[in-house]
Amino acid sequence: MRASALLHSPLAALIGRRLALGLLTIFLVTVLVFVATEVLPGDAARAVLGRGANATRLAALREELHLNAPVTVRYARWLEDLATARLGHSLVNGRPVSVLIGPRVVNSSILLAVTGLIGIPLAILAGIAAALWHGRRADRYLSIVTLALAGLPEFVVGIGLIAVFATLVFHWLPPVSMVAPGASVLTKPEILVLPVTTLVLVIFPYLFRMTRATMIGVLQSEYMEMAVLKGLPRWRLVFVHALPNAIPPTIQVVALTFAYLAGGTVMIEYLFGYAGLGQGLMEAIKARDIPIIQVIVLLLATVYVLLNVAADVVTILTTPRLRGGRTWQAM
Amino acid sequence: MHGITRRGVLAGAVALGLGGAFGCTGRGGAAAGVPGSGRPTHGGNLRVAILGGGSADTLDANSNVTQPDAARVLSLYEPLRRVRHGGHVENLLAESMESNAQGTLWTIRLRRGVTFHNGKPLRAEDVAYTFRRVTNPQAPLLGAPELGPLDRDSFKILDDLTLQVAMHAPFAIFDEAVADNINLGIVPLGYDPRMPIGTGPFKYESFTPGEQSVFARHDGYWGKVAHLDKVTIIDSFASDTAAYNALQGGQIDVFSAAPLTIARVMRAGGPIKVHVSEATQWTPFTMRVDQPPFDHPDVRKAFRLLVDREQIIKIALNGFGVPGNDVFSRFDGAPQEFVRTRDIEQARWLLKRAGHENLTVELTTADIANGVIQSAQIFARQARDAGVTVRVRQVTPDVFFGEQFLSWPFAQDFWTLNPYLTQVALSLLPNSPYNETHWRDPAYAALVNEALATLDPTKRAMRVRELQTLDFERGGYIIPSHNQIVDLLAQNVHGVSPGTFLALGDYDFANIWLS
Repeated sequence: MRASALLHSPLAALIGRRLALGLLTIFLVTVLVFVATEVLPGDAARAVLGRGANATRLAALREELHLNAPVTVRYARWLEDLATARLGHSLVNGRPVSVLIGPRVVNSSILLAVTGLIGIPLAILAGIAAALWHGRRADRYLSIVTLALAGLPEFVVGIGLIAVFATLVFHWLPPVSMVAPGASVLTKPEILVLPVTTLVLVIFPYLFRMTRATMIGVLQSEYMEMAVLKGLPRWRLVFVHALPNAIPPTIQVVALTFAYLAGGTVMIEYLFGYAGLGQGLMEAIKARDIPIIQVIVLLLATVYVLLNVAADVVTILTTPRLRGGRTWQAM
Repeated sequence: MHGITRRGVLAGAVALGLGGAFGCTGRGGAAAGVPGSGRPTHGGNLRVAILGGGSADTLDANSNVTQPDAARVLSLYEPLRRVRHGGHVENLLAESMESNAQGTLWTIRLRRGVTFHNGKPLRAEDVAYTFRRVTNPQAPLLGAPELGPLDRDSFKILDDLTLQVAMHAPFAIFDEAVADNINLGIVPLGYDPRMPIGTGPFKYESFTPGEQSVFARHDGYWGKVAHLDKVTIIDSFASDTAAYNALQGGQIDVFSAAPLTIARVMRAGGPIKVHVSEATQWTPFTMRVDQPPFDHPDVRKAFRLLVDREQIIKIALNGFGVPGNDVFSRFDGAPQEFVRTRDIEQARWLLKRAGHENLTVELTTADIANGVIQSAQIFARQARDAGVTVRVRQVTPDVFFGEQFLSWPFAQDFWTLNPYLTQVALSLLPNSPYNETHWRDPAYAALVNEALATLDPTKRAMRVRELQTLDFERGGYIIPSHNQIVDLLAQNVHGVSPGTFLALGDYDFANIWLS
């Protein structure tokens, strides 16, 4: 297919439509966040002055931070800045938002990427293995362990790992993921081990069970029986014939997992004191620092939307039934 | 002000008040880093976790906001005089402070040979500049209320090291009031908080709000130069548990002002040392004396009689406190004369006389300091014995310190030790910035002015005693205890001074050393 044809293909149209809807979603999210921060008691001026706040100082500071303007005006001003690529400054300490958030974006991305790179192949391979051993002892044990893991909240997993590997039993790993301000977590890779392990354990059960279930379904299908009867080698059966059919539902789960990781690592970052976006968001909410809250939420919402679009596209590309043309337009 | 800084949202952090104290009895330094245990070694980087910081953190000498700010400010800057353990006020940057016979004109002589971190020598103009900065009428800083009647237009520089300050009214306690270690540090003329220059034993190296700040030893310090090369204050910990884990894992050396529940466990022994401060912090219940039912003195007295103070200390403070008797500044005046014991019968009788049998009140509480919420719940249980229903309403610290702060009818608060008259200026006069009990008594105010005009310390103590009698009989505070602050230290941390009102020997890093 030539490039121009691709541009006019139904798939491109689908992606375009999805992206447009995504933009609308992101816009609505920013409005919601602005309204939500309005509802919270107190404001940045109170956070800055603390208990030293009095009417005179509050009034002066609110004037300086433009907190007296109506919420619609402040929102419009923020949107205007954003459109001209100005992220603005923290209300509370006046530092540029980009400087405050930049290292956090990098740190969270590293956590996300390492977790994905280790967790996803591991879970899919384990799922395939369990499907092949379906009904045998190894499969049963794996299922019991993953069910138990799925039932544990992520902070319990994290606290358990800290107790065993960092504080109570062994002292092998740092219990808190501390780095110098603004530094990359890669300067001390050992601090990644526990948060990544926790997250891998959190995403593992869902992915594993999904892969295992679809793989079992595929392996029991008639065409597989046919292939077996034809005497195809086992690796070919699994990786060439079965896996491609088991992949599409798994891709959706992978995308959802990444989306969860992008937003849902707040708890893990909190637990390990990991200097990522989640921790930054909590800090900003505490201080009612609206420009920072907005930029972080915007980033997370964008990642979420893009991941969902990507998942749909990959699903379509890997599903021959959907590759036909007309069906996409209904999606 | 010997003010209190509001702590952040996080639990476990404690806000600070400041100021002088008299006659502390020493119980600090338990089991830990007593000066003299071994020979101090030079060098090292002390990593200290302090909770309660955030993006509002500052290095401003006269306008601190969060708990770790106090530790930073105490490293960088010094006041004219300071309070030491045992409550006595000693000269720091001042060589002497003398007043005329009326207490209306003070002469401050500065120590010779003191230089700021940038090498500039300390001069009288810097002190004048600092006082003007704090008392700026457009934006008065935290120390303004405690400087009382200081006339900011009166400064007279007699020579490089001598400053004359006039007062609008007699102010016999000026030499006590300036001893506010965290709000009245002296800054150089033209000071800019972005260039945090002071005279303290450590100088600024780096600072990231809500994350960490690093201070390096000031080798040109006028006094005894610090042992440590560096102090790193880490306030990025999101929870008590994270800080405690980091201490166990060897990532930090000190967890300052730790939660009392953890501290109690550590006290039993183990690899982590416990350092306990003097019992000077107080977390009162505040009754608004201008509103029913607390406008009736009998109701206030009945409520004070309801409290089982030992039980609150045992449960809410995990034993880290001594009983309070509704009189603050426990080392001033004649505190031993005021003793309150629980008396349910008398409380019932007083409530009946006031026409408030079967009273129901709402108590607003928030996680603003160690043990506050637990105290509220225990108090509610204790009040039931006299037929009083206390409904405990917990709000977040944001709400607590929000628009309704200082107008809750019945709530709690927390303070650290201030000299008696300074505390009165902060919370018991009509123009006090923190008059949470809405106490407005002309006779009381007149007595306060009389005390402020009394230069003789013995006679002044008698005035204070009269005021304390009024507090004890009619006041709006219930002070169940005076609380201790607890630090957790790694084994290799030594030389922590006992301290008076803050953690880590009032964050006296200069004497600490690592082995």
